[in-house]
Amino acid sequence: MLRKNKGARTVTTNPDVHIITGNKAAAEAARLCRVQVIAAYPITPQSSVVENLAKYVDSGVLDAEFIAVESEHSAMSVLIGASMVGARVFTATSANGLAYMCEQIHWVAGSRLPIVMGCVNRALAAPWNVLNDQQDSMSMRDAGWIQIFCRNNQEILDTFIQAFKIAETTHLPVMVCYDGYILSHTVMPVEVPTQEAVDAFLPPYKPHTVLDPAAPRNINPVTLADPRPNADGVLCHGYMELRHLHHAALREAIDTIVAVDNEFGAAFGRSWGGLYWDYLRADAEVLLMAAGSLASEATAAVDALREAGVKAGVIGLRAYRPFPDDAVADAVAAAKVVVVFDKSLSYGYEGPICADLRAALHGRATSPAVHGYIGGLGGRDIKARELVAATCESIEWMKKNTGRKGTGWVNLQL
Amino acid sequence: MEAERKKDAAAEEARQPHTRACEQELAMSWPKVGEAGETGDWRTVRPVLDTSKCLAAQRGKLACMQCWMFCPDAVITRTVPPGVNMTYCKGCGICVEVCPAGAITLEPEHEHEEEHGRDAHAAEEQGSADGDDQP
Repeated sequence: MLRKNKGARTVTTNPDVHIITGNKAAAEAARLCRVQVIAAYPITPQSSVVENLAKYVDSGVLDAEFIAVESEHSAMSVLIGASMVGARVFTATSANGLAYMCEQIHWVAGSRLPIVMGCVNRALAAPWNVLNDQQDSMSMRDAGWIQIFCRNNQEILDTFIQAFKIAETTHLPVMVCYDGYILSHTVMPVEVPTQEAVDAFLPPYKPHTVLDPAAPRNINPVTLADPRPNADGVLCHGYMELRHLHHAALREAIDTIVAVDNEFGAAFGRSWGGLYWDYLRADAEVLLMAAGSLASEATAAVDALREAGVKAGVIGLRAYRPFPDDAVADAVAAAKVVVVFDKSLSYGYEGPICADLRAALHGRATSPAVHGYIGGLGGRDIKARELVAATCESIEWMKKNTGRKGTGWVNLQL
Repeated sequence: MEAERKKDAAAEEARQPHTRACEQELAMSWPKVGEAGETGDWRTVRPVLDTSKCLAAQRGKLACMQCWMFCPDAVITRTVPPGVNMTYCKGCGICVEVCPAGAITLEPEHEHEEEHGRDAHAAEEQGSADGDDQP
């Protein structure tokens, strides 16, 4: 992580470059997106996102309602109401705050509200832990939100701006995920775009459904298994039809995420790879795959592996839901093995990214082996040399074995 | 053959009920009579009014109206005597509880059906459901 980021254009002599934390970058993005309602409850390591936003609202820099609430469940409930009357809204949370919000997270998605939330990735209790892993957002994988992981602070700022556009295009909520402390509390140079540039990229929110006393309606009435005609005789969706539409929207969002990233690139001179990014992939026989800052660190491991004569490369996953199965499967097709590092665990199976990659590759005529490693849980540091060692272990294993290798654990001291 | 098959497929498509025409992307309904479906088919017991006890009926004017006021589904009409729209009445029995004259009783729906036939309730609806609550 101490290396220069290779995924993005490096900006040097620019007065708009500020040395800021990931949390400050998130708050700056929300300000630039002119969010109208913010409701949030502070939780480590997310707190400084909303502390900064509270300051902006208090000082008049940002014309928004800041609604202090007593819990994350209420924070998201407030945003549901505000979004349903047409406001652009924002919140952020971490770990147990996200878990406490869980029910409302599902309500947001089922209501197709374009809410954007920062998830500052932190380990879930029990036992209590405030440090980084990605178990929190992974536990919300199937809530029907778009999830995008960021690798550095510039990408955090840029992704939040993209997220509002993606959300308001697809009518899906977007969770922008970034690693607690590693990004949230680490300062990096970040180019903060001008308000004019962001306004040009992101027009004011045009709501798709508005609760209005002049034309009353019920949102989310009981919707049972079978379709049912309404009072005008029009056959309305049953629960299953709505789920299918929601799923179809997420699959279509695969294209929207790419299109918005390209559009952002044209407007701001930076794009982030859309669904995934890569490093030295073209001739790679061994690909290291991860999401977030760990993928950034994998570029350092790949440099070391290349020096040792291993043709290695990196796939950094940006979009986790919708899962870009075809794009990622195509990207890794020419490799011999993909070594996936998950900072979370689907208990009783394996790392979730690893499992999804296996499924995406299943049934293809030729596909690389997939080896999964779990690492960095509860904030345990992962060093580039440990990624190198795990990759070498996989290469050696493949010389002696065929079939499926069990999940490895990086730096497990048991 | 091919033309016939296409015709059959089109006819099948037309027969197959689908929900696309509602053009909704989230569940919603409007405050209209019948938006929640014909909830009368939930009913296992039905309210039956004894007009010899009903205060409004006995006085020949809009009196009491506790049943109309308390009905949670707004299916009792503000009329003399009050009527119940059986297409939507769920048979909850709140009207029975609030009637100060003890004029309403609940009869098991199956007994009623045996006596009057399954579809009898449609013919004997006393109230209208479209909000016309004037006597």
